[in-house]
Amino acid sequence: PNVKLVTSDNEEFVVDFRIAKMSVTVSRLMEAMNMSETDDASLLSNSIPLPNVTKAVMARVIEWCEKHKNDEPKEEKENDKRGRTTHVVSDWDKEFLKNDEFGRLCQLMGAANYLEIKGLFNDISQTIANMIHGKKSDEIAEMFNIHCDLTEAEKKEIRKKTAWCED
Amino acid sequence: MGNNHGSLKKEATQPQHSTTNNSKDEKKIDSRTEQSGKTLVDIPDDLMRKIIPYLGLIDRSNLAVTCRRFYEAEAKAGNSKNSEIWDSVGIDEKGKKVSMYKCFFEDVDDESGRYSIMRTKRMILSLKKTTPATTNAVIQRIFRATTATKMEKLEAAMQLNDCHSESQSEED
Repeated sequence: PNVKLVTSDNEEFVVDFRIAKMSVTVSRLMEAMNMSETDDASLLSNSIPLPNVTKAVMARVIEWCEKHKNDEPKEEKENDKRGRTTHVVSDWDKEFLKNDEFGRLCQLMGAANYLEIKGLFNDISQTIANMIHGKKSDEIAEMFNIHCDLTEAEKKEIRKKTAWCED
Repeated sequence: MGNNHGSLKKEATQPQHSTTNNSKDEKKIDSRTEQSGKTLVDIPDDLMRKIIPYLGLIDRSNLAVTCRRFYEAEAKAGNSKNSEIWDSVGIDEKGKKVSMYKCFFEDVDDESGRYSIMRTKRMILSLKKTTPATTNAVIQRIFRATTATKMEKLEAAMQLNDCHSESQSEED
């Protein structure tokens, strides 16, 4: 059975029921609209509006879901030895996200968050965290073009509070 | 880290892009940000707070000092396991979490190798021999010491030494 998803720019995507169910948000909406896998009529007569997702982003989300639709539920390792939340990004996912410029990555992350697709959200979060990892504050500021609006006194105060974990 | 930051007086402002046209601006490290013109500051606060737990303690610290908004996002973001242990250090009554503290200090040692931390770690290990009340008192001191400056920590570690000696005398 197929489910119809309608994006903010009125584009209709017809996706497999299993793919639709990968989104917690879509699952909830389907339940609310009494749409079930065994009731073709309910699926044909309804469509799920997704006002926070554009056509371009939805296409990427569906591409990711297509690849992962048969995955076993993953047990997330919440914290590694050093206390970080960790998520292993598979080679396919790395390749999938590799060519997205940062703006697109942010849009995709927003969509994954709105649609509640945990695996995709974790992939993107880990990818962005990896971009920050190991860089000093001035390198992070330079990389992301961040203008520091903290006074020297405030910086000193923050440094003092976090000094215990720094070199 | 985490909620222990407190807050600075000014409110967080919305995304700030540098307007200065210096040579640093031209040396972007990651091509993704160059291509789109979008950067980390374009990520909404709620999503930023979900990314931050994927960073280690030092990365979080470095991010926090880049601007007020990220400082506040870091303070509000979910704590890592180590930070949570850290926060609980002062309230554990029976010293049952000594092994967890040991792991915590080993992690800190890995990242910083600081003498005062190593010294504090030795104190923690010696707590196994003390009474719960003494353990709690010592843990309280460690908590205060290791959220303070390097010198304050060193000083506290020395006080801990005294405290431990006292507790050993009491038990004898």
